Amino acid sequence: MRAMDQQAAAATESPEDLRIQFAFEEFFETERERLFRALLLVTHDWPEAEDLMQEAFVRVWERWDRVGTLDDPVGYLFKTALNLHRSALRRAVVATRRSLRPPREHDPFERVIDRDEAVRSLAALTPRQRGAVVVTELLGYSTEEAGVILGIRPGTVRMLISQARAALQEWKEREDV
Amino acid sequence: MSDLKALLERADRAVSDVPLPSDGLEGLQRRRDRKRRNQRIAAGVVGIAVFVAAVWIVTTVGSLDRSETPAVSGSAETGPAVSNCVVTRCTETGPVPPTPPPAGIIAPPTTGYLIDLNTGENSRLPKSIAGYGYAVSPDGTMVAYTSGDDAGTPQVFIASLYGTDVQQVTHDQRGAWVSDWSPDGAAIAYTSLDGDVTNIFVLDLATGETSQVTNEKPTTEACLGCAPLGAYGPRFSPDGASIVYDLFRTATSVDVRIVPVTGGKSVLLVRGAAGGTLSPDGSTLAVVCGGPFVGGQLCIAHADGTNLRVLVSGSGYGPKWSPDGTRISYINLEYNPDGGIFVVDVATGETTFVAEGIAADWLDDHTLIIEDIGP
Repeated sequence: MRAMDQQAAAATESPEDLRIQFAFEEFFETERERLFRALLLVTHDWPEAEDLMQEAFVRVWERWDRVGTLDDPVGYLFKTALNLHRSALRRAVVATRRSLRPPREHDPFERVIDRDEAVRSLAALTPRQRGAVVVTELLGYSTEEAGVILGIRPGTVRMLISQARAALQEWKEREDV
Repeated sequence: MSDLKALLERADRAVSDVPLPSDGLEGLQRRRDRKRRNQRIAAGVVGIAVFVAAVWIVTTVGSLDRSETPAVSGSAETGPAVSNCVVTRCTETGPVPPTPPPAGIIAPPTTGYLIDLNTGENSRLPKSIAGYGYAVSPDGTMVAYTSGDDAGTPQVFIASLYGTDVQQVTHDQRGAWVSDWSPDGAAIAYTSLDGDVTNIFVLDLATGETSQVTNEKPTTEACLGCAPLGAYGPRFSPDGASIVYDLFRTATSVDVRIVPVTGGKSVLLVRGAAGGTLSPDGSTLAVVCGGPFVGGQLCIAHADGTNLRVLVSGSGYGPKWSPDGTRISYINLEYNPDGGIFVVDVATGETTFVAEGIAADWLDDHTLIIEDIGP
């Protein structure tokens, strides 16, 4: 399938266009799982994580000629995805969709939430706190880099992480774990 | 390893059991195609809406002007006599009502506020400087804007940002719409409507003298109910020697041109574009391209108009460079048909929503003056 697509594309696109296209495909295949998992932890919602991941990749794709040359295109991808997550307009749309969609008894993420205490504990955090801890503690960015990715000041990142620690401690005490 | 890090790694391992969405690159391709199609449709709808709104606004303002200012050779009831009209714009029943210049030139009085992009803090402009088309002086202490004079005719005013020292600096019976300060802060470029054609003028603030920069003549382009043609929206070049402006050749075609500030022969920069403005270092031109009437993408090009490329697809009207030349503010009518101010990083193309608003200008590298969406 991919080979056919490549042949078809080769008929209409220049070698430079094809090089850019293949570089994006490689980027997509490499980063999609990590982004999806990070978004699952931030959103706690499988369909929303899927939607965010797709939209973020589409936006990066549209600008790939520039983004592909950046020092840290992965950071740009996460920044795009988390910016989208923050967008008030988008959140309203997601909320509407959520209210319209059928019960999720077969949602694979729901089963993980039920089973895993670590995942469940993250629900005690606000979306902003989850974003801050995922970007710093899981993805390994510094608070300065996380500030750029999240579109907030490094001091705010530190504050959110501190609040997240306190909220988790409180959750542990409440759940007696 | 911190507790938090350990917890997240455990959570990450747990979610690795969750299957990835089955849609791979093919799903992405479908989404991109759908998005492009929707953008084209939305751009068309927005373009039509903007045009209809502009027609409505200027027709309304024009009718007010006629009632408040007795015609030179007619009466207030009948409007100017046909002999005072541009021939191609008069009909058997009387003159065609004044028709819209591009959106942003004429607008109902409104107000604005300052917003700090770093902190999000904002502060409203004093009511004493209520107007529209705010343009900040190069030193960031003064603001020029358009507001009605005692007779209701649009004129250029200047004032401090605190709302003091308000001064009407134009007294042009044809109306004057502010656009830009010269880089040395000594002059202001504005647009004036003369009959059925618009031209660009420069006002020397020290002497009060005005000089005409463009000399567009009424054309034979007949266009009932559409905008007067001519030169609009002057922006000084960084050296202050030239003015970049929009030339509306027909009702639906506009070019970005450049002309010496002393007048004379103009040079075409970009055909089929509007809102041209040069970066502070003079190397890059930002324009609304891709059909400014429908869609209006934000594009950049070399200063001579070559190497035109899209910076923001979708909607990017009213581009303004930040003083350091790294960012451009623009109006995104797809986000909000009434006006949404965004900032794009020129190097990365990353866009950021700033505020609802119909126009913006930079006070410094992190502060924008935002013009409210009207009532």
